Amino acid sequence: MAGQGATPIARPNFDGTWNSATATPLERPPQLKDKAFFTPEEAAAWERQVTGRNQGTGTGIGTYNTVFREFGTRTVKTLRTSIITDPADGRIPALTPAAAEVKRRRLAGIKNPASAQETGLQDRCLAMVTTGPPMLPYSYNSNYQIIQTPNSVVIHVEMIHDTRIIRVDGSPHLPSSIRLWKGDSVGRWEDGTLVVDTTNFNDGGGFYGDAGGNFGWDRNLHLIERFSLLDKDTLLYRFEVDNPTAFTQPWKGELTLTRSTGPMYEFACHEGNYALPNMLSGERYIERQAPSAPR
Amino acid sequence: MRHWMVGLALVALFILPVAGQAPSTYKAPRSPHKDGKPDLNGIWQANNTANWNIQGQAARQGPILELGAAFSVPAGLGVVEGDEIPYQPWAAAKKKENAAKWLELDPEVKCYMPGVPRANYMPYPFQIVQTPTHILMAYEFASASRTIYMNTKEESPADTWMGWSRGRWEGDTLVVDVNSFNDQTWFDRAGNFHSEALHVVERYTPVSRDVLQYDVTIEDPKVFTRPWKMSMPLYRRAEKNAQLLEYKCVEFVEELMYGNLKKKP
Amino acid sequence: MAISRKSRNVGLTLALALMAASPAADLSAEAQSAKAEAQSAKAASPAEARSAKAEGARTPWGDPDLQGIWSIATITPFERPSALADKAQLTEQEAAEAEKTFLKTQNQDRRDGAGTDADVALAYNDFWWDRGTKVVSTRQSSLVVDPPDGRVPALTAEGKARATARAARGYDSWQDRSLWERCITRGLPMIPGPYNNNYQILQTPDNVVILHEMIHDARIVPLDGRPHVGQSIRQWFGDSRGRWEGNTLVVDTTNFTDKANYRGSTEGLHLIERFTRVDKDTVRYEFTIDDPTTFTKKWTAAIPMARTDEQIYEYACHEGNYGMVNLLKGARVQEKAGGEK
Repeated sequence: MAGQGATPIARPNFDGTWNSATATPLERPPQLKDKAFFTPEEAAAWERQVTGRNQGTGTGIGTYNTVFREFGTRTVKTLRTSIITDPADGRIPALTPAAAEVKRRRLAGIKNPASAQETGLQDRCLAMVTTGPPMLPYSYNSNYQIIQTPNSVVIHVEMIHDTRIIRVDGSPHLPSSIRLWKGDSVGRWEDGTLVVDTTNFNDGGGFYGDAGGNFGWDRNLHLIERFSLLDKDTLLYRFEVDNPTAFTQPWKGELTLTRSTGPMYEFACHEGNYALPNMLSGERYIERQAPSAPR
Repeated sequence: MRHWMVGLALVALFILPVAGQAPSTYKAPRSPHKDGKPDLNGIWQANNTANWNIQGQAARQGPILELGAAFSVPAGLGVVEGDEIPYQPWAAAKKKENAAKWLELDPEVKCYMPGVPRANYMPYPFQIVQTPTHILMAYEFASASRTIYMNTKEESPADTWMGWSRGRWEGDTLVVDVNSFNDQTWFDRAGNFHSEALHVVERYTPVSRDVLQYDVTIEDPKVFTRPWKMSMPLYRRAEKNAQLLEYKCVEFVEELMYGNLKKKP
Repeated sequence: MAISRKSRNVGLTLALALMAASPAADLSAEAQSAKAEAQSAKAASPAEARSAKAEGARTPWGDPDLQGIWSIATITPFERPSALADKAQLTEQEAAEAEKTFLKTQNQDRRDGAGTDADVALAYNDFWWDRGTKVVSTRQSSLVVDPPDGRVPALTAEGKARATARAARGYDSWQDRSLWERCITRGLPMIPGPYNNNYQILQTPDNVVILHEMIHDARIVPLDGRPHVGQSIRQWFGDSRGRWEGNTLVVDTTNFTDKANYRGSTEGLHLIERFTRVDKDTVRYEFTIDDPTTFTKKWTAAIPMARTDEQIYEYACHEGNYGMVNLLKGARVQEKAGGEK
């Protein structure tokens, strides 16, 4: 069924489970400047460095240790130095003033949340970067199950047990009165690539300050994604963010997902969300201890 | 070249959603009253969010904190053709006011009879009992009901909550003309309303054993700038021994409506 | 809801005046089909009655046809006045007299006591009432036909206690008022009331529907032999199942709620109703009350339903229930003023 080697496949079958954990960062470290690709040796060195850093020091309270984490240990198969491919410096472009203000407010809120609504979307179990879209890896559970039918390509995302149903039957987008966390996705096949067009995002605002994200969106986001097979066990995932009311220029990214075995698990985020009440409780405690302290 | 055009047209026919339905080739069994008309007897229920809002809407938090996700507002695609209700300017403002004061103003909250067409798409079943001269629609909600008088020119004696329904057959489609409403009912929980000049024309067409296609034209020259339409399937409640039960909600709203008049202990 | 005291007194007066030793005729089909007084001059012969039953009286699929709009308005009292004792049926003359007297006392233009509380009480006058002007076509002297004395049997001790508790009415809350005033339901069985005594019967092979004008209640009775619903489901109208026994529709109803409280009955009430088309213009309606925790024995009433040319109209009871608001408000005002309840 799946083609081997370099033979292109007309309409590939993405059925199966995929994992996107990677040592490649979302944004290129500034010291790498415009260097878009590693050599194989550089990639290996990078991987050793990342793995070493992720071991943790074992001191202090910390948060999750490596028992919980599933950091990627390999760079993306294409050996890119960052997920972001455009702009050329591999970093998220500048925000518009409006978006910058949203970010500023969000970061201030996260630092000293007065309410649940001031914490991040991931803290509230409302949305995770692994779902997006765009779909980005996290420090664990970067798992996806894809099921294809003639009318739909369905991507079940482990976090947060979310299902993207991408219509490929030619039906149009939903009316603009309907706004969604994951937007509304319609797809079409173009020469071995599934091209997905997503609009109708809501005002959720995005992942400013959230681990793994640190970018936002607004309801005007128009996202294009492209899914193709690099080889039978590697899915190439590319995306273009077009959101002129939030970013001063469009930006693009790309990563590879590796075919995986093993089942997807239930990620009962909200049902087990002790962190949020504990964070807020801690904040309220701090306030009681030093009521006149500057926030 | 022409082949792909034909193919595309065929694909469009079967795949592209069309607001008005393509004519059905289904022929329903005939009424046991042996008048040659299709048998619409049975228990039916809509399965959409029209009672929340006949137009498309996003999901949002509900009005009662303690009810949380058990009673928040779901998203819905809406059932209005073109998703637009052509209100006159004064009426558009009134609709907004209705929506803002939903709990206070929606007659559903007080267990008042829901009027037509809302009775047909509330989240409760209704039963059609059909004879050649009278078709009864019995609604579980508030035990509301209405009788469709068939093939008659008889006029309504007085304005009512459920209107005055006169029906006739056009082929296998039951066409019901409803008028003589009072101005007290709403179309949904989103504050969409009408005046006593409301005129409703309904069309019920069996399109398969368990589905009726229901199309409604709404006309009210005091409120809207032109007629407009809603459209939805009605599904048979096909479980064994399906029956209407009671939802006599008057008892459930007495505290709400008269509580302030109770003797203080 | 019982017939008003006035008509009972009329019956009593008439009985004393016109007591004759007419044999209590058994209510045969012939007697039932005999048309009395002003409704129709002719008395149908047995042959005519039989033929009215045979032709046009079947649905297209062969069940007896009960369809139509029927009224149970009547001045016949629910229970037999004690003076009439075992007189089960009035003569034609007695019936005519009773009707004349009844009409005379129901003067819809009464305005005595204008400007007083009495006047307010007269506000619901004969303009609104539609109690009927005739005894039932069978001229039975009461609607209760069994026990033979035409009276509801004695209550059990438990039933008496419940009746006493029920009688302690007040105006503290809507819960002190009748189901009727609360516009919840008029419930079962079907009994003549002050107005809108109209019922429409529709039939299909699987269901008989009885639409009660008040309070727009559509009783849907399945005929397909399915079992009653489970015990946990209790309803104001109970749960009905129907079957044909010869020409009679027998409706068996259980699963009543305690709150339905017909004459003190409990949720254990078992109601059997029988509907038989006796001629073009009459359906005989008979109901048997079986509730051993409330009544010392079963009892039965029979009410002929008479064809009417009227349509059923919408009875928007709850929607127009200013009465409840006003009576509670009035009670609160009286309390404030220090007055008695």
